[in-house]
Amino acid sequence: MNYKKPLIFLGAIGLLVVAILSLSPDFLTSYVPIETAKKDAGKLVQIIGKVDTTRPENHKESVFFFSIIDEKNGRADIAYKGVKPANFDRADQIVCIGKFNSKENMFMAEKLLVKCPSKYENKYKDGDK
Amino acid sequence: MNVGSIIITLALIVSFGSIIFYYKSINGNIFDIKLSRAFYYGSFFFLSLAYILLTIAFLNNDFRYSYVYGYSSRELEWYYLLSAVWAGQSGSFLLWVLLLNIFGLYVIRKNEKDEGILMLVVLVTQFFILLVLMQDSPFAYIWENNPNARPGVIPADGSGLNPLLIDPWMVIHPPLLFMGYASASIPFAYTVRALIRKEYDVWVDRSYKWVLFSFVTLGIGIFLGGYWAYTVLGWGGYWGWDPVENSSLIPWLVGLILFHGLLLQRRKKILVRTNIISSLLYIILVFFSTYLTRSGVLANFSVHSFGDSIIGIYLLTFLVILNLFSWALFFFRAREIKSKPMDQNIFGWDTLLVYGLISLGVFTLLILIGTSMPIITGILMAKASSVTEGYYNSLSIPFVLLILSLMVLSTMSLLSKSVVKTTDIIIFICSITAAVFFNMFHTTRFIAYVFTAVGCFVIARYIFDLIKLKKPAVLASRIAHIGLGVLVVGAVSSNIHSVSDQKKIFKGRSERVGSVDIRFNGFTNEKKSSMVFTVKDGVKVMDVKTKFYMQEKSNSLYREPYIIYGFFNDIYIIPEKFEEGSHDHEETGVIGKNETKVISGVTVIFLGFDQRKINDAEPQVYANLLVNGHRLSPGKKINRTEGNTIDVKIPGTERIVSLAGINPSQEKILLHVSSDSKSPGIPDSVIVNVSNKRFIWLVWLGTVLITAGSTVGFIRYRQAEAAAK
Repeated sequence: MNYKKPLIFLGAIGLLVVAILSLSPDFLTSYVPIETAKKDAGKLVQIIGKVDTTRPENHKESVFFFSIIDEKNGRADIAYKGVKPANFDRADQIVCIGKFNSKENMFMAEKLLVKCPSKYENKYKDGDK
Repeated sequence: MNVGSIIITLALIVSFGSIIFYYKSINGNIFDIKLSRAFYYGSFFFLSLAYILLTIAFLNNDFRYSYVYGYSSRELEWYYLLSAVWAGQSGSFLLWVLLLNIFGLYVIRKNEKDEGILMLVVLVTQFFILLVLMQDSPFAYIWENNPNARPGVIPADGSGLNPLLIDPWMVIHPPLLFMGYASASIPFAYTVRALIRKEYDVWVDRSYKWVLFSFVTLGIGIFLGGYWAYTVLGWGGYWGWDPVENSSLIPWLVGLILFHGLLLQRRKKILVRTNIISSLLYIILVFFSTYLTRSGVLANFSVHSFGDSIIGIYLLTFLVILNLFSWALFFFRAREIKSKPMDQNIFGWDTLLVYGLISLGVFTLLILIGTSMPIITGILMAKASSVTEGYYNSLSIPFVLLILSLMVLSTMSLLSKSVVKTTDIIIFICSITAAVFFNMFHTTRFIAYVFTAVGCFVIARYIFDLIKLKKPAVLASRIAHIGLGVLVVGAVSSNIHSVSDQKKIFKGRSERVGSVDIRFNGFTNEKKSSMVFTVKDGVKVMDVKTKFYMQEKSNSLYREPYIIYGFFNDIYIIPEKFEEGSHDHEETGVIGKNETKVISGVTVIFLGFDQRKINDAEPQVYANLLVNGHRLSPGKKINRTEGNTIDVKIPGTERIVSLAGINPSQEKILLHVSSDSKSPGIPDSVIVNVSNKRFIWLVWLGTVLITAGSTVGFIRYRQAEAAAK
């Protein structure tokens, strides 16, 4: 069997993939402490923390504001373009995916994941390395 | 140990017996085969018994069992009780192993040469799943799983099935997925036999229908999952590239590559080695997906809930064994596998198909890498990262386009030596025109035009094929490929053309949200309440009710979208958030000395009694209060029973504070604050999101056609097989 042509084809596809991924810088997000998110303002990251109940929650039409504190006591005000998720109030922790905006001094979340205590009790050790 | 656990243990023991005798039978001893079959039938008996027992436990609301308690409750209808059997981890593994066992019976019925090798593969998988079930038994009593529960104490009611799963589609979605997963073991068994016996042709025929069966069932499972997500979950879409969704898509795509590869091998004797690799990858990825979703490794990166992590170690061990065994066997034989060289003509049907499959393979690999990214980065960079939806979306665009193009080109080259003909040019021009009209008033995004044009070309070209060829042999492939074209067009219109709008609507008022007028009428008076809306769509006015309530047991919100199905658009209404208004309603409250309390929205501090007129002809007691910062003293005439209160008004409002009762010995008072007749407060409100999903039924139609096409292929193959006998 002649492998030459399929290999050239594979190489071409590989280049295509590299090209696409290098053109879109926001394809990978990692969990970072809130302080790091603030330093790397403008970079897409995930932060996780408990809801800061001492700060007011504000739910306006199409934007939901709240604050979280992470393990390292970093605090961030979050603006989420969307509606307060169901089960938010009984969440153990909130994962926010988005970028820190240093001008507004606020974390602009594109996506929220609500972690409820009952289901995820034992699992933090696994995923939160 | 109870009856159920004993039955599972017995199933494990007879499976082991069957393994031993099948192993002995490999050199051809008939007696050993008979004995091992007997043991296998025994395992079928025990597995069925375990399944029936678990079903009965559900039907009888037998909450002694931790599993039944966890996934059922008395209020469920009988068919949801049946489906609750596979709602959780151990029950679904039981279903899986039972299905696998039944497929094994089919293999035995075939009375094949080297039944021993085939059945050993099935049995080892069965044995492994049974080990998992021993660890995490569906028959464990509630006090065995929960140290706080007292032995012998049976809960009065179960904790209930997740209401999201109380849906007709969810009744059949998991069994179909598990049918797909379980049947993937059979082509793997044939592959192993092929490698051991060095017979690289027979396995292709044997595997083909199993791969198709597995592909179809897994596919229906995935499609139903998407449809369910759309109708029940209420985030507005049907596919979100979530790890759980991807983990069933990846094996399905490998199955797709595999059966196309098998087709090429049957017709052209090429891709012999590739097909063996695909077949090994198919089963490995089925178990890898199970590992991803059941072990909890991705729990922080998905919106889905995950299983227990103890199971993860079992699955990982099996996965390692499966990989070592498969690849060792493959590399041991790899050199001697003979395959015909591929057609040198770059525009040949098979060459183009192979390139299409390569593209599909790379695409699948990229999805796999994306899904496993938290694990990969967790190991390599010690900081777990996940890919975004953007990763999948930006890769899907070129890959789907490339795959579709190669698909169409390969079919075109099959019909004639010259690649491009006049009809093709006509169809091409028509497709572009159709794409322009389809997108014109809805989007300016170039990519939408490109995809619609390619989709339309695929549809038109294959319909043309069907009409021209009039051959039943091409029916299956053409229907399925038309389905893909329809799916692509539907994906364009339902995503890119869709518009959504969000507004806050106060109770009793009407707002224009998106294309409709919505009035929020409040809630139904039920335990599981619904929101009631009046929706005006053009001239059509309808009353709409959609579930929105707090689940008692889990104390979480349950809501459903409401969908008005239509030809051009589905109107997708999601009550996003309910906000209770502030009613200045009247309220009565008990308050102790020096205590601060909010009564009817007013902050009251009770400072103490003022007994200045206690010795009057008409004795009176006053309570000194601080009401919203004002010093007030309402009083009470002790000797009278009626008209006995001396009320005061809160300055600046119409609200009246009255001393309804006193308890001097405990220094407590009963205070009544009236409502403010002037301001009615803020009414309840709801934030509603309305989106128009344009031609979303095309997506469903596409999936139905893909399923129909593959099913036709499966049936035709079985008929041909029966005719050949």
